[in-house]
Amino acid sequence: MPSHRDNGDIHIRRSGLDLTADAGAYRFEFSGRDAGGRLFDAYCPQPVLTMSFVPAVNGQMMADFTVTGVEVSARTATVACRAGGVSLALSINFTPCGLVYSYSFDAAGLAKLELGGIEGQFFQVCNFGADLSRMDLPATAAMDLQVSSRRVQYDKFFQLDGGNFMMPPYLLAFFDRRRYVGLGLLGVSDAANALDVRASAGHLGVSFDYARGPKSGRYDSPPLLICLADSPVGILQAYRDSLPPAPPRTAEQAWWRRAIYTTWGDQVYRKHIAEGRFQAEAGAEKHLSAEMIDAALAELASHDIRPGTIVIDEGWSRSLGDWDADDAKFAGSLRQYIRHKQAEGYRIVLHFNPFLVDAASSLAVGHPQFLVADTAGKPCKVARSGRDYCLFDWSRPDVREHLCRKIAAMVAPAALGADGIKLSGVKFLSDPADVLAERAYGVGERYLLAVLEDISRAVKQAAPEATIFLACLNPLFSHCFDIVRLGNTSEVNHDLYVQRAATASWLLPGRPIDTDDWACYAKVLGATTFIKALAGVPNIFSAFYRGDGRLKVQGAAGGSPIRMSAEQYRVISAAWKMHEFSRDIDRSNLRVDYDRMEFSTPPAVDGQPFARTYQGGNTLAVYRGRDIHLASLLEAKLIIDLPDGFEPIRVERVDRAGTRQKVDFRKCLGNKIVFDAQSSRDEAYYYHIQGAQ
Amino acid sequence: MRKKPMNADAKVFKIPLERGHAEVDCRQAVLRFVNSAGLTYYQFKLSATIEYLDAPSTNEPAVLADDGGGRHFVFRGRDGLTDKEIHLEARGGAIDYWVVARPRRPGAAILCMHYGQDGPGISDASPHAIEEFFILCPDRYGSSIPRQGKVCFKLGVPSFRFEKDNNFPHEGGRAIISPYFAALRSGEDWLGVGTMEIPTSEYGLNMTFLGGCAVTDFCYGGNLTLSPETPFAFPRITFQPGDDKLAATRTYIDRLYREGLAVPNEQWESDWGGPFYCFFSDQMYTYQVERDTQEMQGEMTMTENYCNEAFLQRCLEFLVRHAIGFKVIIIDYGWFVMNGQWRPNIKRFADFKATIAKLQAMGKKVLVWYSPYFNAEKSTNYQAHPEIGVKKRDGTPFFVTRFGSEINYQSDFTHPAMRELCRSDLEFMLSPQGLNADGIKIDCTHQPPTIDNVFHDPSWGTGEMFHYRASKFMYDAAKQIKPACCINATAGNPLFNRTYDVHRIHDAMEYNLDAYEERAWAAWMCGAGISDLDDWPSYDLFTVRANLRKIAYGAPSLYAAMRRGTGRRPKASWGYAVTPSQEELELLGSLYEVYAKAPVDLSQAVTIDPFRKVFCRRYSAGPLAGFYAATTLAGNQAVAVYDAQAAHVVSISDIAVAVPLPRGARDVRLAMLDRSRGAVEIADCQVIDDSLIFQARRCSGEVKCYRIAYALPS
Repeated sequence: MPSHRDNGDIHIRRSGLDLTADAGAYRFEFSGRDAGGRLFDAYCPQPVLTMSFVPAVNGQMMADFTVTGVEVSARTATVACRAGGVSLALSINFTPCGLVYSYSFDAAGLAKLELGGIEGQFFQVCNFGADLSRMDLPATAAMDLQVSSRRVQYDKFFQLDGGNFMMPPYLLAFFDRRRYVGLGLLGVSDAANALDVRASAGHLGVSFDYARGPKSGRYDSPPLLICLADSPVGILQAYRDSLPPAPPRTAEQAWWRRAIYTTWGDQVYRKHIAEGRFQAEAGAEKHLSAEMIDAALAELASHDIRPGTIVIDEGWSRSLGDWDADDAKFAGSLRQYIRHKQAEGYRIVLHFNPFLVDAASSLAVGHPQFLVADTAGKPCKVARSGRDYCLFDWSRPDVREHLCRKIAAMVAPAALGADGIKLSGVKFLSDPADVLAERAYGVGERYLLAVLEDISRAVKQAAPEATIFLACLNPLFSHCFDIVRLGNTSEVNHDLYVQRAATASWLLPGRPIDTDDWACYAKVLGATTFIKALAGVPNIFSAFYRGDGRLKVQGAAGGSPIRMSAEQYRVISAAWKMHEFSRDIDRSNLRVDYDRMEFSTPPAVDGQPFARTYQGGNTLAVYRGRDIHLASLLEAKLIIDLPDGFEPIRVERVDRAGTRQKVDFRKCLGNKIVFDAQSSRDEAYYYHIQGAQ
Repeated sequence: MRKKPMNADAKVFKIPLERGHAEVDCRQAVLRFVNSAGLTYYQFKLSATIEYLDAPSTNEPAVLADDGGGRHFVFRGRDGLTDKEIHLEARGGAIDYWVVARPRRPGAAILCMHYGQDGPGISDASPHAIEEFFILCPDRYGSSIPRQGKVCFKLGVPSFRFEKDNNFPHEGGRAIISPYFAALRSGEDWLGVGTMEIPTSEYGLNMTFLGGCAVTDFCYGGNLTLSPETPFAFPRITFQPGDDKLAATRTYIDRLYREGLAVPNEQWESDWGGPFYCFFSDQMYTYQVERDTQEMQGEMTMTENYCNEAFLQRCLEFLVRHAIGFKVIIIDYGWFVMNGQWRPNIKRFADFKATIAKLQAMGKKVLVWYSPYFNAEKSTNYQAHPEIGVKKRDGTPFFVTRFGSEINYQSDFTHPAMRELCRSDLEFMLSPQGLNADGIKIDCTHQPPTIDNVFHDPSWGTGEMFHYRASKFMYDAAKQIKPACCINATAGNPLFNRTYDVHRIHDAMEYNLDAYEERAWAAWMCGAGISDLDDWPSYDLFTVRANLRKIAYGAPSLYAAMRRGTGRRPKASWGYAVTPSQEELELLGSLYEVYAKAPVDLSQAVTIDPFRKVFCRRYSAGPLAGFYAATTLAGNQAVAVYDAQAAHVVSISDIAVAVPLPRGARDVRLAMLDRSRGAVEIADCQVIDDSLIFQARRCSGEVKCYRIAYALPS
């Protein structure tokens, strides 16, 4: 071994065991020890971030770990090791922001692999999944933090927090009061778990669980990124920059950014009011109809709210799983109804749930072999909203063929001819212990990936411009869908949607974001509607009602319905108007600061348009050349920044009839303008500030 | 003497209302409400049905006895045991209804009175086409009414007792004791229904809607036994239309005050505006982080390990280190041996009296936690006086279990011995010979004994009246012991005023930034005086943003500073612990510091608009009379607190603010208070339309707050 070899960014200083690497702003140093339990110490910069690369197989630490050779190329070190009679290849890659490592070896009955770990004084973890953003770690007690697309991890600490309403990125950030250390998977695993970190007294260990299907033969562990940053956003950025390039996707269509009406809220509330069963959403599919949609669109139009896209939610098919149009709900023909709506200028998106099959559907009864079975051979059941469902076994070629044909029929111009599909319920993944016909198709998250790839292929082959909505924050699945749907809210939390949107804007930059609306909380309508119009595409789930709360144990699904007030309609119409003004603005890398309640698209470069909020999200302003359009929920003096060189010549209040009224204004504090504004909750629609040419 | 018409030829009287009208159909014995679109949406049956403990419920149709000239109708009804006189009186824009009952023989115990129901089942109740209801009941305020299925709301002291078939479960008496009022919508019209007194039933307004029928129940659990000698007047309810739900609610509440049924609070001592600090949540979240088990064990384990002198000291040092000032400290659950043994737990506080004295020497007022309705089995109170516990009908003691294992026998305040124990315990807590605390935090009163228990003397008061009289007893007893003591308790309902000094708005049940202001608004609508704005379970969401608003509309309260909660989570019922950032702590310190310049008091006029997020309070006297004492600014991103010399401004973001100036203010000067350099004058500001406009920086790091000095006209 050379004592020192300059090899790009990696320096081998003394022996094959001592590495130093400059990785972006951070410096990783490895001083090797080939005896004892620890191979490398890594630290960046001082003091120490200590890493152990010694793995454990099936619970046994490979303590007799010895290094037999090291090969170094430009940004990669491959370390040949031997432990427990097994030869391993440890691969270390340096990305601009961190290092990625994985193991390769011949596995024999591998049930659990634990990847070394990191020692540190970590006291807090940030999660980038749908809801929980951060929490303190116990000082001494162990805690298992599992992030995956599966709905509930009953035996894990996170349970619902690891990815209930959106497929989460496989990423966690740990804070030691000086910096954040990110742990992220850069590949989709076929383990039972996804990113699974055990935090214990400052130690972080990542493991992969194959207990339900032990691995044999050549095994490559999913690559794990370890990165460092000063902030959670920095970790997101580091993770994004370390990802493999995503496959190309269909070019975005302009209509993808038009405001959305989704039928589900009206379906659920109709059901609640007609049947008096507030506790479950199941049964709401019966209340979908052309009459309901038309009444909703008419109601919205009467309040100056005009969606461009209609998402026809669950209920358009005869039952969940058969995916045959229930034409009776659509005056005899869903196909004709879709044509009719398209002729009126709407785009139509149909709901599709890839896994669930109504146990009573003709398909489940007629094709039991299509269903995932448990080890006793009985169809697996999952509960959703008070009802049991079976699961499609996508590993069967005949199931894939059948379902892909159904999917194609949803969007093919010669069939139903919808403009896209809304994928829902992907969290109802089969359990890895369930019996799949062909495990080679994929297990765990890899199974989900295979399913989504098949669906995407089916849609794009049938209608290349058709779009796919998916509640997903995971960039490793980005090639499977077009529009990020922000999913259901789990609680009355003003920040939740924007938190999700911010993560999406960082990890899936440029992707349109459907900001969703379910469960239609009345309590967050005012506070969030403007911010959501900035963050992405507005969506309204009910044209008539908002939900009043959803207390967890005792709550009504979707909240108790309360008829919308005229003021609430005005708030929505003003926000949608602002969205119209800003629809084409790039929402990549949203700037979201909850502490300061500041939200904006990236600031303008070279006079490009941009949008930002003022007054804690209560005012939304769209800057475009010599025009600033803004709407506010406040009745107050508004103080608005003016771009460099912008000289205001006129401020007008525009009402909903289009009447313009001149407003007195003053310049103040250098480059700001102040004027008395009326709230868009009342008669003011929006304001228009014109600048001199 | 006027001839009393029989039903056969009785008239229909029309009573105009603000919206739509009502009809008294004397023949059918029905009060019909017709909305402004001409739809009859509620046919309130004037018959009322009594349900007995040990006798069948029968009912004969009500017959008109006197039409009172179309203003005060009297109907007569009867069942197998009791004669009933049913009154309906038009009063201004309202229509009052009540029933006077006289049993024909003594001894029949009454389970329930069903208003608007002329038979034994709810299918005999009043038909309706009401579409929606609104109640001033945090955290749910209303719902559409389904055409099928059951919707029931129970407004009163007890928190909700779960019913599986009910579509509208809620916390009736936890966040506040809701006023006994509901607004009901049909089309565009709203009709209010309210109870005009504190009844001896469980809940003050208990309405059920099922299958197109509506009934109003007053449940007595067998504790009401009527005497033939003394007619009993069941509660008076009123029907009161309004322009909208809030207008109808206000009309009802105003009437309570106008008729002297509710009386505003009067006493106010200078320190009662806080800020309050209670170390309960700090215990919870510190326990979470320092626990040695993967699963969390809950509040009992937390108390055992963290409710003690050492941890209190640790918390206080943290607050001092982060310059988070407070005026009142609450020593919460755990200072005592056990419920019902209200003596210091010397394992936790070796000399609790000295602990209190030390806090008082620091200039703090000290409130101690007290739960009047709970007695542990092994407590000295219960061991010495087992008669203080209410009993079940089988004679065994009634208890409730908290935290999975804490068994509490429930207090029977109708027993003189219980009242005497309560008085002597309060004396121990408040008197100089005892702990010499400055006040009491009365808690857990949303769990009073249930109405189906057996009480020593039901005539003292059961149900809602039980709690009112117990609360009034405690309040009066405490004031006799120490007139300036602070009674911090939860009520809200205007009929419960003067049973407390500071109204506590209780636990946040959801991770909702607006939860506290909605509750404070509900209490404010009721005229409940000044609210202690509580903090439990101390969500991170509230640390800065909610506190900024809170200091503008009530007395801020902090239950955790070292760590906060992330919202309710599967593995931690109240939320995972999360450490606030240094910036958050600095902002909190700044907010409390400017609040101290002009704390809230009872003389100020508070405005809370949770819908438009407008929060302020105004002086009613002094040099700034009519002007703000505090107001939030810039979409609640900044707050200004005013005194006679200056406005004190804290901003939580970098934002341009327009700070209103008092009328005639002159010599206006703006300064930033820098944590290390002191006051730094800022010239870059402008007065426009009586507001000072300047670019504020987030008040953390070096920036502590801003001061706008002015001179007022003499």
